[in-house]
Amino acid sequence: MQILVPLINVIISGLILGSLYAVMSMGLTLIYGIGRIFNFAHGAFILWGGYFTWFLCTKFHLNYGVSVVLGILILFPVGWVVDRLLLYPLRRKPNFEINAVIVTLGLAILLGNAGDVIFGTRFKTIDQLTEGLLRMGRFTITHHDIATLVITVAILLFLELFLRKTTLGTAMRAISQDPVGAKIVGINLDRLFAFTFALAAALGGISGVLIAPRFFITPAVGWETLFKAVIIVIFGGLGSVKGTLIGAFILGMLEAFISMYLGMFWVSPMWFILLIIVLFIKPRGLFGTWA
Amino acid sequence: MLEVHKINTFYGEVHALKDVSFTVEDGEVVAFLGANGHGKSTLLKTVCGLLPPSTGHIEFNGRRINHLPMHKIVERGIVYVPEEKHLFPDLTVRENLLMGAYIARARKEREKNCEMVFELFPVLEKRQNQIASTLSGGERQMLTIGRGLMSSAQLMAIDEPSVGLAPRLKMEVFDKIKEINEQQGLTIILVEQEVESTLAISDRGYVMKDGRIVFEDKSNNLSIDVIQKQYLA
Repeated sequence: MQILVPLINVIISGLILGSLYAVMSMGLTLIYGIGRIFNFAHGAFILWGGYFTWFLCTKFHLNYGVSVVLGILILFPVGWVVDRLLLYPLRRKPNFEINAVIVTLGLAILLGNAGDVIFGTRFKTIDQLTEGLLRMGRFTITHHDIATLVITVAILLFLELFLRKTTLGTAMRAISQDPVGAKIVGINLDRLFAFTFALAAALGGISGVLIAPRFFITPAVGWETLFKAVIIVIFGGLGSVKGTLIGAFILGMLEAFISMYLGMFWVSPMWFILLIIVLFIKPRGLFGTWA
Repeated sequence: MLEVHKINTFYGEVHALKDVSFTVEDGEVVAFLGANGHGKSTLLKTVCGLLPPSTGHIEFNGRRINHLPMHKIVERGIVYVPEEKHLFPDLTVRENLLMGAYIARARKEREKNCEMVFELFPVLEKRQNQIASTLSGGERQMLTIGRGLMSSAQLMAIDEPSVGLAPRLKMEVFDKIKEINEQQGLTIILVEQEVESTLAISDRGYVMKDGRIVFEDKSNNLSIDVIQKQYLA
């Protein structure tokens, strides 16, 4: 029992981290899989999700749940507009992939600095979703952690059902497998690229909202989360939803164990070591199929 | 139904179609014959909107379509059945077919069309839950045609459907194309190198060389020998 209790706590915290990381990285992998864009602004969307929630909670004294929904409702159209305004004009020109990197990198810097100006650079905190602690014998878990787990799993399930069962989701998978084939059947690729970008921005925003109570919201959050999401997505296989999901849980679990037994300091080095090992064996990541 | 007037298309630097004009009437099967690299496939891609022409115009049912994006052209009722298949390898056979009915007009009819495709190609019904990449070459060709049928089109442009198939399968594919034309009333443009079988199922034929149409006639009047010796050699 003495060994078991901390072990189970570590596993639970690994599951929570994994599900948060899965939501955090999913937008990045969707945009790559469907539009072949590596979106460097993804971290900025995560950061802005946090900013919106903080702003709505503290300035308008809105309830956390309402702020979460509003934050997402704002980021979805923002993602749509970004695609239409910045990426759509470049898509039919040569060197799109490189130009898209420069544009999204520029957007990340712009959104980061705009956040500094609008919200200030002070560290911000958001209260936990709910307070309280659930006890089961010697195990304890906060209500906040349970809520986080429920929300993230619900989002991931929703996404999976959406991609598998709806016509729109199937069309997204179709584009990632053969864009010319998708054109041939009459799919309006430009509209689906915009939709994917909007969905990715909203997913990024939700993850920003969900991780905000665990960490401080600082201007650096954008780059830190992007950095983590990049490792997760490359580890799982660029463009693969399944790979990103499994990668997020493996790396989340690893993080929980390392921070418990070795200390937080070792998390990043260990992630990299594992990533390098995987890339040696599978150069495209666990489930990568891109050519 | 389809009127193509003096189109010129470039493939990068290559002038692939030079002043090409032709017409297709309702209910016809029209064949385009010629050697590889002489513009037949480019012609189909141009008509379907995959490779818009630089000059000239294309009218479908009396309305200009050559300035439209491809998804609008599919909406108007032209569907392209590509040579290199362009199926969705990791979707199931059924999902591939449903994607064929993506456009709004076809979505309403997709269950009916799906049944029609299964009737035409029973093997697809047997394999409907299989991933497309696990199909054989012949089955993939049938799925490509089946996916095209799902869009409730009026005009189907088929690019070398017999390429890479065993002789027996080639015959089957040609028979099916004729069947689609006769039973569904679909107008068909067919690009091929198999002169004999193509002329057997088509009403009219055009022969292409160097990006131009060199002659045209009713399929019965076209000489298999002449085409094979002079234009396919």
